Amino acid sequence: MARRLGKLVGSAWMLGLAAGASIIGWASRVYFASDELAPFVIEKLPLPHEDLWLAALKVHVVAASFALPACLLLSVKRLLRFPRAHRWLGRATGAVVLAALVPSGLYLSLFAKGGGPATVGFALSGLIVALAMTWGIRLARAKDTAGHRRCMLHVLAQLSVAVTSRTLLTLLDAVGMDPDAAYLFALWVPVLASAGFVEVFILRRPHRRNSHATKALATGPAPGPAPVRAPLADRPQGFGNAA
Amino acid sequence: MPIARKASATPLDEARATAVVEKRLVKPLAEKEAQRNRFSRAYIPPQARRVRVLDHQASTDGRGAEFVAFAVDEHAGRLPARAADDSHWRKDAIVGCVYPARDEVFIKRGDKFFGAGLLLGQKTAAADAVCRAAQVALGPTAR
Repeated sequence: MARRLGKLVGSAWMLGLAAGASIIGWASRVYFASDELAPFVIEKLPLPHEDLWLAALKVHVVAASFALPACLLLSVKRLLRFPRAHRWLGRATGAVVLAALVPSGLYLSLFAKGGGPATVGFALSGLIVALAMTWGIRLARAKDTAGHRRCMLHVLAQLSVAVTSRTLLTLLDAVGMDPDAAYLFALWVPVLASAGFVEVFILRRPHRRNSHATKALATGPAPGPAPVRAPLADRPQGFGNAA
Repeated sequence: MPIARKASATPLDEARATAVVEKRLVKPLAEKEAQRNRFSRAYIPPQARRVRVLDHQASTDGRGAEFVAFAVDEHAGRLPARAADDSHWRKDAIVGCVYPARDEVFIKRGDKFFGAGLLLGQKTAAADAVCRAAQVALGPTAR
């Protein structure tokens, strides 16, 4: 029952992220309209290097519009049955994230609304993404599926901040919270909660698997010649084998 | 040589100044924001805005045009009780100057002034000669 509920919540979460990513992507068309300034741009003006900032924003928007849906696709269990497609989409996503999304995001963070605390919040999120992506690629090459999954969940969790943070901003505005305080709250809470959630989620999963394994072993070996394998025997030591 | 702000001799029509800011800035901004996507990192449009004229007397700029400074306060949130409480208004969310006779509104960003069209999404260059009172040289005896 709890497992079913967990699956349901997980599916709803993924659908919510996909819907949020679609809304953000669709709304980002305004940054490419030549005749009008977008509200997000207006509130930043005047900027010291306006053209550079605008270029970074456009790169960030395009990269994020690809990376978040791609990460969602890469984490869909059914699509993991196609390892070749997973590898190629993963490579493309890794390249986009490391070459475009993170560098442009780090530059934009220097001019973030909310000053130093916002800059540090965005930079922290970007660094988690860069480190997790780099480490996750290395682990994938080393065939460490569990470690790779853990890293990539960190990437997905931080990319999901784009959706959760905006949702939180809307809710905090509805209750009349001061916009400056709300902006920082809606940034830091999702960044830290996303990182924490992945660690807790990942650390709990092997426990559940192991407890099932213990139950299976307790009933005695299955009839037939096949030896009983420990469930994680074909996996490297890691934080889970949920891949 | 000592200098002083050049003030206008005509009395300030505060209602007229407020009306110009409402017409040129607050109303078109609200109309634009009503069509905007709220699921964004850009500021979330407030529920209400109010205009305050800050100067008691109009100043005259280098072009000889009279202006007064204004501020726009904003109220966020959907709880109506809070709107009545002054502490829930965000003061000086927009500041600038208005030329009542010319129907012109400028907003301040950093230490520069831009036409109000900037907030409506129009690409606007900074205006140099506006919102700054002309300096009147006082004679040496004024020391």
